[in-house]
Amino acid sequence: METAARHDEEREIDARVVAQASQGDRAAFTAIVRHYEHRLRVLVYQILQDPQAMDDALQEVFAAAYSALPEFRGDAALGTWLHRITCNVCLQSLRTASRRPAMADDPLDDGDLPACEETAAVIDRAAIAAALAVLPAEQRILVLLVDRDGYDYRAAAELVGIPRGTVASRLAGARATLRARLGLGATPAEEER
Amino acid sequence: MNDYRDTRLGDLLRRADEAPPLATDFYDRLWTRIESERVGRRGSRTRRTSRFAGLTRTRRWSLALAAAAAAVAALVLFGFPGGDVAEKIPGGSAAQDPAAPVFRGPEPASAAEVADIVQKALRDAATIVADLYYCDYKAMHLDRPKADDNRTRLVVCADGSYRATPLERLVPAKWGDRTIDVPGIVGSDRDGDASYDATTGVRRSWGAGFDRLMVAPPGAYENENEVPLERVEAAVFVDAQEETGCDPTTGSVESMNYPVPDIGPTQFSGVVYALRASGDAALRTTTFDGRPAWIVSCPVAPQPEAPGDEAPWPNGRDGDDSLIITIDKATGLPVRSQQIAGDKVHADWCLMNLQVDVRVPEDTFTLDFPSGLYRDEPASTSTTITRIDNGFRPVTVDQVESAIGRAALVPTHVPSGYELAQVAVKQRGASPDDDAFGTTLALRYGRGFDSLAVKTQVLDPAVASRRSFIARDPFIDDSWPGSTDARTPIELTSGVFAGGRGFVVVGPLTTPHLWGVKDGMVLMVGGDASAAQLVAVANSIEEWEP
Repeated sequence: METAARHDEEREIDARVVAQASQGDRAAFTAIVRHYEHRLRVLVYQILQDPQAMDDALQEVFAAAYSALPEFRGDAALGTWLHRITCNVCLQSLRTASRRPAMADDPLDDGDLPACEETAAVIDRAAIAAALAVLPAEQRILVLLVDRDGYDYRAAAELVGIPRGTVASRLAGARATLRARLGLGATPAEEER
Repeated sequence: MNDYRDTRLGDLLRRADEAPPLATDFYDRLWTRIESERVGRRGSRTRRTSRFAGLTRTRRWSLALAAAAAAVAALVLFGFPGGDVAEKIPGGSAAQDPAAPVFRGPEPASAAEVADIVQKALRDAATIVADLYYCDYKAMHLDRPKADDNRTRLVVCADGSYRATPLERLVPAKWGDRTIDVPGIVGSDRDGDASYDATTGVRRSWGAGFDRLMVAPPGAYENENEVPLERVEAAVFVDAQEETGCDPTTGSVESMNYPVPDIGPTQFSGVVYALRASGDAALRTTTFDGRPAWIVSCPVAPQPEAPGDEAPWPNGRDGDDSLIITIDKATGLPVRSQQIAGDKVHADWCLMNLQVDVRVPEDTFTLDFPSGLYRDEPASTSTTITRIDNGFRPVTVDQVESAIGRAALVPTHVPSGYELAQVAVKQRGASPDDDAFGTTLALRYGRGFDSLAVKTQVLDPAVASRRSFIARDPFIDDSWPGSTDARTPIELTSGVFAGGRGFVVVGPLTTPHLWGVKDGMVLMVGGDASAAQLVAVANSIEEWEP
C-alpha cells in the first residue's frame, strides 16, 4: 500500500520489535499489541458499536496478526497491515451477525445549530457518537478510515475490499449525513457552488 | 495520492476517539487463543486463516485475477490506452460486416438530426441485448491493472429491468467435494452477476472468488504479504446481495455520458441530450462492430478538477473536454461513447453484438443465487448474503394516501407518449440513508426506453429551514460530471407547488431535471423531456382525485 495513514507514519513501532515478534517472541508481540491497541480499539468500537463485539474482534485481530506476522515483509506499514486485518474482521463480524447498530436517539437537532465555525466547539462527543451510529456500517468505516485516520481512497478501498469509486460515493453519503447531523453545513464543494 | 479529506469532519471525529477499556483478562485470553490456534494448525491442512487474515476481498480477487489472467491471457485485453475498443474486443472489428443491417432513410446531416433518430429508436425499443465493454481512465492512464476493464453481457428492458453478467467464461472451482462454476475473474472486485426485476422491485447480485484455482505467475506477489496461491487450500467465497423495495425512479437522471460501468436501461437517453446540445455539429460516417455508424464529437463544459485520481475527469489535462458518440445506423441506438478529457481518452464504453427487441427468456431478470453455498459451509469459507430494504413499496395511486398519510401528488400533464409505469411510496426512516426526509412518493412514467421520474418528498423541518438546501441538486452528486451543467433558477407558477422555487438543469452530461421546494416539500422531476416540458410537468402537480 503506497500511502499509509498519517498516524501510522508518525507512530510506527520499531522494526526490530516486529522482527522479534515475527520469530515468536511473546514480549515483542505484546509490545506491538500495546502499541497499536488503542487506535484499533477505537476504530473497532466505532465500527461495531458494541463493547463485547469490540473485545471479540480485537481478539480475532491480534490472534490473526500473530499467526500471519512471520509472513509480514514490511512492504506496508505495520499499522496499515493491522488496520487491514481489523477491517476484515469487523466486516466479517458485521456480516455474520447481520448486525446494524441500534439507531441512537439523536441528541442533536441540527436545525438548532448554526452552520458556522463556532459550531464545532459545542458539539460534544455524545453527539458525534450518535451521528456516527446512524451511518450504515459500510459508510461509517470509510469516514473513519479516510477523514479521521487519514487513509487515502486507494488504501481505504483495499482495506475494506471495495472499488475506489465506491469509496468516494460512500464517503459522500457519510459526509453529507454527518455534516447534517452535526450542524456543519454543506460540504466545501457545496459551499463553493 | 492526495484524495479529498473532510478535515473538519475528521477533527470532530477524533474528538470522539474513545472506546471501552479492554477487559482485564484480555491478554490472558489472547495468549490462550494464540496457543490453541497454533496447536490446532499443526494438525490442519488449511492455513487460509493465518495467511489470508490480512487480505481484503479486493486483494483476494486480485490474487484470483492474477491466476485467471495467466490462464486466459489470450482472451484478456491489454494495451488499451487510447486505442480503439472495437479492435480489442473479441468479435469486435472496425471492418464492415457484409451481413450487417443497413440503415434505410434520409441521411442526417447534424448532431441534432441524429438525436431525433436516437430518440425515436429508444422510444420504440422494448429490449436491448449487447455486450457492454467499459474502461475508465484509471485503467487507461494510471497504474492500475488493465483488468479493471469491464465486459458484461447486458440485457435491458424498457420497464427498467436488467441483467448484467460478466462476459468472462465460467470456470470450475472446487467446493468441498463438489465442483461449481463461478465467473472467471478478470476484473478486481467484480460482481459476478446482477439483475433487477422492475415488476418486483428486487435487485440481486452475487460475486464469487476463490483463493486458489490456478498456479499464479512468478513474481505476482512481489509487493504483498502472502504466499503463492498454489500453497493455499482452495476456498470459495461468495458475496451476495439482495435489495428489495428499490426506488423505481433510480437511474432516471443518471446519464450514460457519466462514465460508470454499470449502465442501466434508463441511461441511454443521456446520449440524446449530448447530441442535442451539440446542435449542428457535423457527422462522420464510420463502421463500428462491422456495422455502418455515425460518429459525432460533442463539446462539453470544462469539468472540475479534484484532488487525486478520484477526480471525475483527469486533472492536468490540456485541451477541451468532449464526448465522441457513435450511433449504429441500423438500429439508431448509441453504441459507443468516448469521454475525451483534454488530450486524453477519459473513459470509453461501447456495445458490441447489439440486438434489439429479441426474445429473452422469461427468467432473465430473476437471478437465483447459486444454491448450496450459504449453509453449513467450512469455517474457512467466507460467504454472506447482504439483504437491504430500500424502503419503497409498490402501490397504486389510489392507495397512496392510506399508505403515507397524505394525498398523492401527481402531474396532470406529462409529455406526449408517456404512461404511468410504476408507483411506490416510502415511509420516513424506511431506509437509513435519508432520515432527514419524510414520506416519499415516486412515480415513474415510461415511453419505451425514455423515462420520466416525478418524486415528491416531505422534508424534515430542520432540513427545510436551511436556505442552502434548495441549492443542492437532489438528483446528482456534486462530484459528478454534469454537476457543472448550467442550472437555471425557476419559480413554479401553478399547481400545488405554485410559488415554489428551484432550478432546472439541462446539459450534455446529465438528463434534464428540475427540483423545487415549497412549504416543506420537495418536488423532483427528471427524465427524457425538454426543460419546458419538465417545468410544465412541475406546474401541473395536483392532489390526486380518483
